[in-house]
Amino acid sequence: MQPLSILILWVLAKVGASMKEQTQNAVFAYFNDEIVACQRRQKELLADNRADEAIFMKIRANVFDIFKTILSVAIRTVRSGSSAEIKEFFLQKTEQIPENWKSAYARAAEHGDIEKMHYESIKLEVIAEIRETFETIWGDK
Amino acid sequence: MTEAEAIRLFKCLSDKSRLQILKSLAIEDMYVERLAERLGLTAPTISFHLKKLADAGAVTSYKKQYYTMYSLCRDCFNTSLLDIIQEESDDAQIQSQRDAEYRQKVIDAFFEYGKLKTIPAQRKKKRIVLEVIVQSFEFGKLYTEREVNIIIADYHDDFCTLRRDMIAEQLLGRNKDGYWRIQND
Repeated sequence: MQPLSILILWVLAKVGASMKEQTQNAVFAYFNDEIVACQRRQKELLADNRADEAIFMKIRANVFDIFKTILSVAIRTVRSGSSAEIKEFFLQKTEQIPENWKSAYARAAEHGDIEKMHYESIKLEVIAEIRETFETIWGDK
Repeated sequence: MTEAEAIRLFKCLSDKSRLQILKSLAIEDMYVERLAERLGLTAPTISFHLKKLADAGAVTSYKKQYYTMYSLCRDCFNTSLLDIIQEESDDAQIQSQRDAEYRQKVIDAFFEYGKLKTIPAQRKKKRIVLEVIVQSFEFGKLYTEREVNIIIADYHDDFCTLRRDMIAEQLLGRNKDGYWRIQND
């Protein structure tokens, strides 16, 4: 192979790797921003004597944190480093994990437990937001 | 108003959103969506707060056409603070309230929608759980082991352990003819 071809391949590989990193960083930045925003809002609500609504924010922050961790695990676990495989792993988890939340919500609805229904619906709302944003940043949307 | 009821009410009122809901309801009866619009909160958040207010006896609801209307429970707010703090509570009553609160806390922690989540390891808690389950048995009736198992299985799959524990705690009696509920003080 000509040295020029090798150079071109090397540059393309570097550009590809850099784009992949940029995408991953963008998703992590999204999670971090949301967590910080929730924590800030939680403090504001507490200061405004709205303790229960502050708990809602804490729940939101926790869900973002859980899925930030899952993305780190996805990146570490997928040995090939393939973007498509990381995406598949992550999206699979966004389906699996909320299953318990959905059934908890249904159980609470069955028993008219409004408090529990609200807690579960917050988690389900956040996971819908995460999926939407993840697919937008990662591509194929 | 008892001390426990007053504490529950005060705890419930120490929240700005709930106070704003009450202020709105002091003007007129409202439904969830109307309150949500007025206070800039989501409807589920309003429902959440209304449930707490209803549990504390601060609001009541009624049906009007398609809507569930909420209204201020004026009797509750007509009680003066002086009446509340002058309410007498002797030591025995306080202790009995504490016991009842502890009991309720254990029940809330171990039961979910009438099902026992796990069998408590601590004897005191287990006793409370068993006392709840034994309420499904009638006094003066003789049960077969199968009937006992079916009743307990409604609460938890491990009916054998629970049945034996109920005998050990002298909540159920047993002889060759069957099982019966023991009358405790």
